[in-house]
Amino acid sequence: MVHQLFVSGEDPYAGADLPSSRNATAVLVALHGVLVLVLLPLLPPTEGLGEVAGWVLGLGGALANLVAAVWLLRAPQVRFGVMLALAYAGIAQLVLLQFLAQTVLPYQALMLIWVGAGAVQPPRRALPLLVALLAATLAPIATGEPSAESRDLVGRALLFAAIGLVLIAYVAYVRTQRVALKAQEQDARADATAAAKRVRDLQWITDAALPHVGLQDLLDQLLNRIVHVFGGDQGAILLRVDDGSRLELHATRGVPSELALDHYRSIADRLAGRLASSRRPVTLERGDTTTALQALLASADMESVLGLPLILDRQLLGVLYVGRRRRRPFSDDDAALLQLVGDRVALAVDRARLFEQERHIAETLQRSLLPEQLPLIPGMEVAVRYLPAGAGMEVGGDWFDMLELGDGRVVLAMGDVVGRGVRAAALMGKLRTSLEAYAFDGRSPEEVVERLHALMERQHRAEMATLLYVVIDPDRRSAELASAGHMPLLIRAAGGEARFAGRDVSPPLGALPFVRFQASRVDLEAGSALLLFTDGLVEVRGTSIELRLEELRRTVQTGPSAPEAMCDALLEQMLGHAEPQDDVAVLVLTLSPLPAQGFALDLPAEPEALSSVRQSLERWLSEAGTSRRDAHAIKVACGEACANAIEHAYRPGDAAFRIEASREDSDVLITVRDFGGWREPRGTDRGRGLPLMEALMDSVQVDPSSDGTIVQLRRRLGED
Amino acid sequence: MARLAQLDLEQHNGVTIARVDGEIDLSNAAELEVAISHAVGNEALGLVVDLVRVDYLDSSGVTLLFNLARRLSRRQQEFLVVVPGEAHVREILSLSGAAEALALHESLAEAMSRLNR
Repeated sequence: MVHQLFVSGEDPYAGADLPSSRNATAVLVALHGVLVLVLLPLLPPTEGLGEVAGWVLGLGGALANLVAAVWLLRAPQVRFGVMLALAYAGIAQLVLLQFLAQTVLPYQALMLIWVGAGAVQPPRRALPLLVALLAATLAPIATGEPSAESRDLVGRALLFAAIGLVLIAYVAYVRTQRVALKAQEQDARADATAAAKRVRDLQWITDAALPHVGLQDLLDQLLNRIVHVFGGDQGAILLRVDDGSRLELHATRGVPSELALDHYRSIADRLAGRLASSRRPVTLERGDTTTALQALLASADMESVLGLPLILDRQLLGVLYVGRRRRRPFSDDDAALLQLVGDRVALAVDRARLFEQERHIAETLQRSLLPEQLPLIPGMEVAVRYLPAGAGMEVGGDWFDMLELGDGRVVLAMGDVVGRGVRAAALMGKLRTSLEAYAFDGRSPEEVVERLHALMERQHRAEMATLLYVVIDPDRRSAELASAGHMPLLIRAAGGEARFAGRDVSPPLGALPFVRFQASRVDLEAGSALLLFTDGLVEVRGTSIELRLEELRRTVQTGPSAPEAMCDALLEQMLGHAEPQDDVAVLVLTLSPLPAQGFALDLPAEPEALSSVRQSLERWLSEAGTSRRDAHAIKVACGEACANAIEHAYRPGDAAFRIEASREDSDVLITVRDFGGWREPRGTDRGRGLPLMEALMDSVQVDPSSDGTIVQLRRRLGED
Repeated sequence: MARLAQLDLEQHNGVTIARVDGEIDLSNAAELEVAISHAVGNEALGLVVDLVRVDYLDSSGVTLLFNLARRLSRRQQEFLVVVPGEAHVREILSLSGAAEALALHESLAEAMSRLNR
């Protein structure tokens, strides 16, 4: 070992601790200074330069030593070279003092101090110092005073040298031990760091599977992370198709762009075959593979490959691999880590697939439960938007509906079932159906909400849902609303000013056992718009809901008033282009005034359409300030004409008729047009319609033709 | 569709009172006719159809009244219709000849006293 210390090329002190050498050197330098100060009066320097100069040199040297000691202790960093230089300076100082004092022994004894100073040096540096020391100790002999003391001198010098050697060897040995210990400690720390890094890497890779992302997103993310952690340039994930017949490429990364996907697939297949049969991680070097695979790997620009089969419950789900462009073999550690990663990836993939299946079912269910088409009502313009939450999110239970109550009133409902997935969608369907039944039962808004609450209490105790129920009465220009924990109704007046209504909400349906729901009434002028929405529109993590509601209010106030344009504008402002985190449902309804000069309606040829006709006429005539008597007469006559169109003019099947109402000075003109053939009224009872029309109107004109019948009615408006 | 009209049926001293509230048109006339005629038993003295709260009635409503009148006269039962003189509905009934053919009364009380005479 000593040989290794003194001879071998490597410095065993590499990384040794400098500060302790520095402290030892400082003590020795200070000790030297103090001893010189003690020796000077006893053995004054008298020769050579003269007594005074000798004293000055001696004292100066000693003080310099003390200064050097203090500097050594305080300096932030001292190199071995500096300490060695100090030792040489000390030796030179002693040689000078020996010469000036003409005495050797006491000063020679101080040489031992520098032996010590040498010992704190790395051994190979200390050796030249030892030689210099020996030379300095023997210097008096060289000055040419052969005496009887010469032999003693040589003997002592050799003794110092021997002591120095032993000391150096001993100190070196102790230090080497310490260095070795330190190296072990560093190795252990490096191991621990590497292990921690592997755990972190593993964690980081599998974290990608935590958020509810879709399968494709999940695979892309996992692959990105895997390629990054394993220091690869490219990689791919292949999954087995459902029937297990083959593997399909699902995610790639860093694949050379000029490489055709088919070609890449064949590489993947070949690798996959190997991986699938090994069922363990496989490391490959291009040079060591079969020639066919070599060519494929060369074309993909891969030298080193690390591949892994993804196995869950002994079933092969797929394979993944990472490739390096330059030859840099993957280690066993890499393979072991990839194995751990693979187990988790397989689980995540399996989960994501199940999740996508469920999401698909829930989405289909939910779509099928939302109204396919909202009723077309004259004087009302409606726009709806339904945005399901972004990929990877479960389907929510947002829903809406619009119902015509038949007496001119219209119900708007919007709700949100708390919870997600198939369950929420199913409950949503039930609530929607029940709401329709209660609404048609002629219940008031608070009764409808209370009944739905009771339904939840009875049958779905563990679940909750919010609901906003609005009944619009276009004739009275008002709306009644009741809310159960839902977002408020936003009303935009014709002038643009927007305000919230229904903010004093009761708790959601099913939230508390004994709740009374309250309805409130708001007035609506012609041109007002009503906006119903679910929380997905305004809820953003980290932003106060009040601020978001205010943002929505301002957007609606300053934005366009037409429903479709309003929907677009507010979605743009509130959600931007990001995929929503939650379902978003928005419904806008505007009450447009019927134009004074007239209107036209296309209606299905069903008896139920008659009340729509009456409501539109009623509203139009009352807006025009027509007397009650005139309005009633026109309604009945027009109703008869429409009933004729419905009852007589049709072959069974899909059919429609059109009604146009207009003003001509003080005359009201109604035209009812159908697209069937006119049939003469049959039977006595059936013949009542035409005479009634003739009695009520100033003129009635029936124009039958082969492609439809036109009935024109005219009545001069009188004074009320 | 919610019901256009509500029907309340009541038996009072052997007389069936059918009170209609709402509108009568092609979409509900036949249904109302069936419901009302079923409520009048063979032993009933008569039927009063109260149209005080009807604010719309067209020829199908007139037909409904004529049909009821025919059915009851065959069974020799009284048939009375209550409709206030100032109601728009009265005008429709007059224009279609029902005012002459049917016994119209201003109020339910008047109709009942007519029956109990």
